[in-house]
Amino acid sequence: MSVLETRALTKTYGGGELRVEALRGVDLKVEQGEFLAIMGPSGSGKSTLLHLLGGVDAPSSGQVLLVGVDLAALSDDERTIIRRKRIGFIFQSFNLLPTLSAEENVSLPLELDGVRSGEARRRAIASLELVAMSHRRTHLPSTLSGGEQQRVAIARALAIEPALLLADEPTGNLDSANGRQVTALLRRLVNERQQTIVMVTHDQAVAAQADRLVCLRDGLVESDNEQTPVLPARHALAEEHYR
Amino acid sequence: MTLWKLMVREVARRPGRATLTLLSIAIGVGAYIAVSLGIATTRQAYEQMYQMISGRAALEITSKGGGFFDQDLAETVEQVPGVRAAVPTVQRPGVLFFNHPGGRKRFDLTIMGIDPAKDREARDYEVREGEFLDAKSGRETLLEVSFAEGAGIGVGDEVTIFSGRTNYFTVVGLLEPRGVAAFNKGGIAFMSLRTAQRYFAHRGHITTIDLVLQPGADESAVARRVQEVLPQGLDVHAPATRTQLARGMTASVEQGLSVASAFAVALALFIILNAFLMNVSERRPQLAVLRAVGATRRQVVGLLLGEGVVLGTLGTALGCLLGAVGGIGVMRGIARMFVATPPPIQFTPLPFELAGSLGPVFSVLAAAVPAWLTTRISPLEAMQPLVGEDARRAPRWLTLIGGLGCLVSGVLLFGAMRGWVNPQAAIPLAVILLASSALLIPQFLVPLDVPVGQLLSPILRHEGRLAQRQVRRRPVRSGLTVGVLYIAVAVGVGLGTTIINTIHSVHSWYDQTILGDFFLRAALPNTATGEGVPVPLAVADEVRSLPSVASIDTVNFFPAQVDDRRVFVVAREYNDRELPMALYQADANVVRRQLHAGEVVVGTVLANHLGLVSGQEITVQTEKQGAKRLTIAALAVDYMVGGNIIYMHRPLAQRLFALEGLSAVVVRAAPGAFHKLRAALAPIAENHHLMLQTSADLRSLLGNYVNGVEGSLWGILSLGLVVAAFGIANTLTMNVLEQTREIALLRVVAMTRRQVRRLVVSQAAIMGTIGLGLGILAGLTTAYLFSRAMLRLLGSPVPFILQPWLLAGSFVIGMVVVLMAAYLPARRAAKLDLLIALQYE
Repeated sequence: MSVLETRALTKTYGGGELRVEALRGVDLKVEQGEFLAIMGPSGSGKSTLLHLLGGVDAPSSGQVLLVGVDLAALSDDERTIIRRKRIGFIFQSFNLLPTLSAEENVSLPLELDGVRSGEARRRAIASLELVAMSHRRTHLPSTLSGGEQQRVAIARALAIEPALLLADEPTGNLDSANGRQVTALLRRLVNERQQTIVMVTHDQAVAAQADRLVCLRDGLVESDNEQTPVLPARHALAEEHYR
Repeated sequence: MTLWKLMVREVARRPGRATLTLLSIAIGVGAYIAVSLGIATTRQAYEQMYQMISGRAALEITSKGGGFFDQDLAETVEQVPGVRAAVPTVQRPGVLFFNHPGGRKRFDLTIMGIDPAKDREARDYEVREGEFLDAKSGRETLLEVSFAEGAGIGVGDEVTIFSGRTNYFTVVGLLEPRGVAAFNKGGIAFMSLRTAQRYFAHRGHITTIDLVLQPGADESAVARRVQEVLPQGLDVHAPATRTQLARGMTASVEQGLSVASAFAVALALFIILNAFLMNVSERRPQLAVLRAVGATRRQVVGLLLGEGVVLGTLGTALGCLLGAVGGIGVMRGIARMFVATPPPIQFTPLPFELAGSLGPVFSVLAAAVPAWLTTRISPLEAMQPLVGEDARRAPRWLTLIGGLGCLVSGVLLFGAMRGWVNPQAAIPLAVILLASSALLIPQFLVPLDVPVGQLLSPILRHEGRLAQRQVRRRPVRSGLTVGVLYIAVAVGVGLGTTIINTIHSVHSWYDQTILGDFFLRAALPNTATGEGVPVPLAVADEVRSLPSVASIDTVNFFPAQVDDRRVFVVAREYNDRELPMALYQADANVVRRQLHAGEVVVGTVLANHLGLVSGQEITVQTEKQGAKRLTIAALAVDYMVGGNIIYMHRPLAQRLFALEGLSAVVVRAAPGAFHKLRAALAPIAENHHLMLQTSADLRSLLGNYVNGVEGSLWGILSLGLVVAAFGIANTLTMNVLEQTREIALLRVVAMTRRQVRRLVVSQAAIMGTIGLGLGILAGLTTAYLFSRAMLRLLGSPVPFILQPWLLAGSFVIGMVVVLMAAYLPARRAAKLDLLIALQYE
């Protein structure tokens, strides 16, 4: 069974003259341990697709199957619970809660799911260690750099041991050096932990890290090709750092 | 745990808003507690005073006219089944004089003549210093230790006691304090019954028999049996009925205080609602992130309600402290109004228990709507940058609640004014009407800001137009902020107009009733019982013989009984051209003839309570002729003894009651002879231990009452405006935050810092003008409704007169407060770092 599958997925906004067909029938399958990049020009529907894959929004028609469960058929609360347990989100603007420390931000989804404080804390620290941020776990987001904040956000997404990681322009607000670090981290998660990742990006260099590239245009899949991930030489140092 | 930390830190992150919310809850809770404690203490003070006197007695026998009766009756009554002991006493109002090293001091008190052996069956005595009385006690007296210490009197000191006659006594003992005598304006002087009869009453005569019942005896059955053996003119009743007069006096004050506390609670709820709405608005992105990472709607709602509980609990705790302190202030204000020494505040648990449970509940209720709004936050909002929203209409539910509230409360309020609905409901209905009308403001904000914008455009110019747009952008936030100001000003103007009109009515009453240049009396009448110390008849003859006297009138004030109600009778000659009473819709000349014909004038409050009007009959319990039906010639407004008053021609009073002595002598000076007459009256007053007061002296006493009330008025108005100012400052701060990028763009394009400040201040000016204007209109409407409701509610008509200075002053001061509230947000906006602000989303 695929980790993620969409069948004839459509999403329409508005009505009458203001009707916009953001997605016009998308079929997609993502396997376990696959790193999928989605690209496309503005208005191609890539963000809309990501929202539907994450159960954040409901499709107008079609299905979104996450480990065999049709997200479109669930209620808002049910989608929320699935999201909490199975899907980790990484946002372009990090979206860390400013009044919580790094550790508290990471443990938040666990505690929302009813995990006891002590256990949540343990798992949060383990997640932060994975992204090499455990030494800054008591820091507030305002005292962290952009790259550090994004790594904490990744740790938050990993803490729940998700079936699927969804990343929306994860390097969009980072400089090139931090962007490379974050991308390398995502690649390592796939290589070492068989993490399934779907990432939307504008950056070709970032997309090149993925196993597969899906291009959208006007709400449809224009191309869907496997590729060999490219790790530029200077990334090797970053890799060494994270090992 | 993390959610809890998030909640606490979010509250701490906005100290200004958290402070505003806490303060609002604290003010609402504090006002309720302060008023409840003040009223409870006042009532308890009166009741304790009589408990101290009545002791264990379940019933007491008194003359219906407050006079003397045969002591032997006590033995007869003691034989009635169910009565364990019938304890005779003489109780008279008196004045104590004491020669202190610093000068001669005078104190009003009650003289209590007791049978030293028998009295212990009714009362407990504990002598702290000196000795108790015995059967052989002569001119010896016991004082309560707190009164004695306050007066600087010790055991062995000689004091002079006057009650119609003057005599010297030695203080032989000091008693442990029992309850509060403060509203008696002094204390109690105990002496043996024989001594009291000899010097202040008549041998063999008493004023009261206290009845101690057998254990398990049926009080009402015993009362019936006792009444059967009593001669005409005597009455058996519970001692607490004597507090009726006092309750009548405090009723109007209690009503006013209750109104103020009800509005404080309404204001608090509004501010909390607006603060929480702003919280949700500002934290929308954050709440969307929570939803995105897995928080259900219920968890997000729980977060906000949890904040409501925490703030509500903290605010309630602070409010309890404020209420305790405020209660002392309220108590002092009431005492000042009634020219009494404020008793220690009685901290009864009930107000704290009620406030303690309702405070957090109200806070959660106010947070409920904003919490419900969070259920509409989609996690999608976390995925997208926050875009400035276009102007939205006010939500329909807000308009619906406001409209329904106005309709229902308005109809019921009309019913209360007409008597179809219990008039006591008028106050809560007025609060609901005001709060509901405030909820409609967001709906009408847009059409209202047009004329306001045009009016202010010469001053505000371009910045004003931009400010108008921003105010419209958030109609709910702006509307509720205007609503806070609206409620504060409406309460201030409404209450203020009513109080000022009441004060005018009091002054008018005073001008019509206190007609004379000089007043001779032994002491001011007891505000609770109406009893006064008698002035010897000879004083009137002495005064009449003075050459500078133009006219003299003798007055008697004494208590009487109408049905189950204790009332106050004023008996005079009524020979002067001007009738000394504030007639209600009646002709003075006609009424004078009717008084001389044996009819009476009744106070409006008493008439309202009995449901009587002019021309009908009132039944008065008399000593000499039993229950007497008297025709009501007219009604009169009166502010003494809560309006429970009957004016009667002296000859009629003489026929019906056993009048002894006088209560006061009123003297008019011949033209140009004022000072000469004063010099002539002074020695007469000195010789007879009387007070000589001029009209100006009495007016200054009235001034105490008025000052106490006016002080409270300005206090309420100021508090309301301060709280409203906090609300405006918070709203403007939120607006500045939301407009950060926009302001930065305006600065980049061409706006100077000064213009940015004007932009923010213009928003305040627009909201302030709308809120103040609407508030003044609503306040006038409230005042008008109160004036219509007062007659039915309190029996006392209050005219509705516009007070232009109050309206103008409220507007000007209100606007100054509003603009001051805009200062910090305006400064903040002007100091925005352009580079950072341009990146703001």
